[in-house]
Amino acid sequence: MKKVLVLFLVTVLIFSACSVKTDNVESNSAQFSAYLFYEVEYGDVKAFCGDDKGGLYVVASPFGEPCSLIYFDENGAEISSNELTYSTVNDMLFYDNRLYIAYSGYKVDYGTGSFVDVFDMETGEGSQCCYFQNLSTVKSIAMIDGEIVAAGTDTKKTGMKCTYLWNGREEVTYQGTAIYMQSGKEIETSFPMEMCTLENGLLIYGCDNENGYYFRKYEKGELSEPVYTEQLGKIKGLAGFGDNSFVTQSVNRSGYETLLAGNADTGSAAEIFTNVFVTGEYPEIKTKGDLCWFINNVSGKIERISLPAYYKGNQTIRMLCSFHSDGTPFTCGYNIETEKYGNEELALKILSQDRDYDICYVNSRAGAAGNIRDKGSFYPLNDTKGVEEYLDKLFPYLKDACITENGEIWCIPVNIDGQVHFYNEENIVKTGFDLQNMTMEQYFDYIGYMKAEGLSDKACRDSWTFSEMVLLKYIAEYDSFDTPVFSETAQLIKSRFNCMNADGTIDTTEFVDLSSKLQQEFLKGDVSGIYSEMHMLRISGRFYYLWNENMRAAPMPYYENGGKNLVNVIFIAVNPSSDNLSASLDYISSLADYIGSQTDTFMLSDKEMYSDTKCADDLYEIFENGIIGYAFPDEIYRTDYMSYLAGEMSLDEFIAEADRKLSAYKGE
Amino acid sequence: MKWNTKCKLCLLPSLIGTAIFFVIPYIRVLYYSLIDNQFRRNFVGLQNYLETLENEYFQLALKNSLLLIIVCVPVLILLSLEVSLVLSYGIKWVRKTRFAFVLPMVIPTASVVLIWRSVFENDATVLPIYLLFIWKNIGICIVLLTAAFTAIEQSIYEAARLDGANSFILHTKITIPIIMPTVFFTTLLSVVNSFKIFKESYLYYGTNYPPDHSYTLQYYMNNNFLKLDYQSLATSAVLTSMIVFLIVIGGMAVQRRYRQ
Repeated sequence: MKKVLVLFLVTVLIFSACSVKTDNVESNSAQFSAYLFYEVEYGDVKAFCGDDKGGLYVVASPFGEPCSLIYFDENGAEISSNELTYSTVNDMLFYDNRLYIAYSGYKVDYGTGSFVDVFDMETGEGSQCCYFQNLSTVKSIAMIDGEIVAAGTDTKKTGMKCTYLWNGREEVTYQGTAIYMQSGKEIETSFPMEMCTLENGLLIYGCDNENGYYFRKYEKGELSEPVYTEQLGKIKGLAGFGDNSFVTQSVNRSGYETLLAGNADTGSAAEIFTNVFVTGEYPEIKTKGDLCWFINNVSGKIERISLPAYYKGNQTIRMLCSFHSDGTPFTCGYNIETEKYGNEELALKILSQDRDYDICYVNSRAGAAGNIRDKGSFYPLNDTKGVEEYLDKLFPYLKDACITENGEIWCIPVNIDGQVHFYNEENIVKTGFDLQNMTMEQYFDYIGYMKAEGLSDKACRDSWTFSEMVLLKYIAEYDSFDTPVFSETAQLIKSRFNCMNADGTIDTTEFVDLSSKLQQEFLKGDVSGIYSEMHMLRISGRFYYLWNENMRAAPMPYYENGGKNLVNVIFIAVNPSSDNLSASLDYISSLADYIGSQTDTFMLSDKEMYSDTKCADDLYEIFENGIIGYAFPDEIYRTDYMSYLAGEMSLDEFIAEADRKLSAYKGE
Repeated sequence: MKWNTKCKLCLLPSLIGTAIFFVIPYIRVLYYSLIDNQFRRNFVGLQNYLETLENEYFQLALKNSLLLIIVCVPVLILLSLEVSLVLSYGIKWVRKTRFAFVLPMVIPTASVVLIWRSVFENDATVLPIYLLFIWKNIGICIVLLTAAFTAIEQSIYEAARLDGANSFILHTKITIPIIMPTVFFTTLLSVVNSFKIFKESYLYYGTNYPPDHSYTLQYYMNNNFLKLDYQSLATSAVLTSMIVFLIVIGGMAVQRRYRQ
């Protein structure tokens, strides 16, 4: 062990003599305050921590090579890189000009356990700081009141399990986790998962069998009462800042990794950054003062951000949306509270300009969307920072949709989806179908073929959704139902994809999500094609559409040459009467900046912002040639359409009735 | 405290309530009808009124609403008069059934509409709505008119008979002049109620877009509300209130002239 310490001492002493490299230094926009530090290869980073000046220590071990300690200064410049003799490092900590390194293993004098070594960065002296006999592995270390605290797996608690059903569905199990202080005292709390230091003590995130996930502080030798939270679930990594705030990472339901910041006293957290990659093998999230370091999954580098630029102190933005809307946009450090209403209630809320909501989330597919666009009065965003620049980056039709006749910007689009048929090119070629150039009838033939081939559970979504989409696409392009195109299509749907069951119920049995499991089947070539909308995924979750090199995407057939592709768009508009207007506008500004910098959004017109795959090219073309389908209230045509499909109404009656209502709706 | 002051004090809560719940909101609606948008609030004069008056669906709604008044209100009043006469002067056992005429006022509209739908199979004519209106309002008209009939002192008729008046003279010189204020009032009430037929009509057709013959002003306003078109809503509301106001003023003028 002494050899190790001497070696490390030498490396520390020669830090200043090392060459300075600046290859890894980049900076993003000032808004994001991010600096790229270290290019991460899979498995190579063992641990990292920041120092008081904003510099970063990284212990890395490229595959097959020994560990190195690399130091980057506050500008991201690599100052030194020196070899260490540690085979692995679990965690590291910079405190009071000392570097603490935690690792697990076997030592002749101690046996198996976890160890922490300390190195004085001024003198270069190093020594073993402490030994945790009970911890077979150490997950993280922290410092409180000058004493090292370590969390890890306790050999004495082997077999003790925590089983809690998060949100009633996901089973989470933790085994034998514990936290010990340097003195050997255990901080007794049930199944601690993560811990970090706050200004005045320790913050613990754990789970208990009865009440689930909790935050708990350890200050002056005492544990606070747990604050239970259902928002975060299983987290990866925890870093503290201030006296009660934390940063962590979680995988949200759209399946992408998000950095969240929150308040330990309330247990709530807001998204502040996407594509943050944390696994058990990688080091986690680290903070020092207002700075936070993490691994960015897209850049593949350790990045540093200034937390105040991202975290808004859990300020709440209250968002109205209709029942049809799902999900929330990226929260940009704000806590977004969603209230859902029916169309009439939503209209009343907007008309009355209630002060108790801040932003309105409008899905073009919801019945009230067209009205909200046409008549809703929202705060003009022309002077809001970054909004015009963001709109300039969009496909022209999206930009136009955000601007009223008198030139006011009433909203920004935050997400888009559309009717897209994903298919495996290799397999489809064998079937003889050319999905990129089909008539509606050929398209129906193809869907029928997929079902006949036993792919009915994967071939398409339910008949109702399918036929509804066909209708929505039609009405986005035509003003009347009284056309030969519509008659032909309606009869095709009724005879071949009638969603109305004999008992009057709607057939929704064939719905299947374009899940990651299905993606795996795609990869194996087991599935030929899927009719699917591109779901309202968070933008950063879309990359999995683009994984498979054989995957292609085709639009729905056009009714006539020169047709457009139906797209659904989610807009966000600001309530001019909001008593939280300043924060709302700041949120819009942050969101515009965030989306404008994302890849594979299929809203931005810059081709450079998309993956270099066939599927991405297909989707770009589809969404570039889009037309927004504003849904009409159900009673305009949808209810009668169901009557027609159920055989209660003839096609002529439907056309006459729907046209009459449509005319009144548009004319009144 | 003087009697007048006491009266004014007693009226005060009512006046305050009227101001808060009717006058102030009305002024606000009037204001919204004169601006372009509730956020920008640029004064546009009568532009909203001109646009609304030119709107073909407003014209259709106005025509249907007026038609409802012209056709249904006279029928309703005549029918009510007829029934009231029978109830007041007719066979005694018939009089005991007078409570039945109040039933339409207490039966929930939804259940009435359900029955109505089973009676009328198609929506080709406006007849179901007209009948629904008459059926729904005839009760209150009968109650008011019957009260007016029964309030006439029999001694007046006896005195007239002693003076040699026949039945025709009795009714034209005594009955009609005495009940006329009630008839005017009932007529005005029915006119106002004709603007409230929306609920029944909506339940009957089950849509905000009924057949053109049944599309009334309430549909126009309700649909513009759902479409967040506050200016059209406010403008059509003001226009409707003006129409009602003119009808009431006209009715009162006729009544005054009749008295003179």
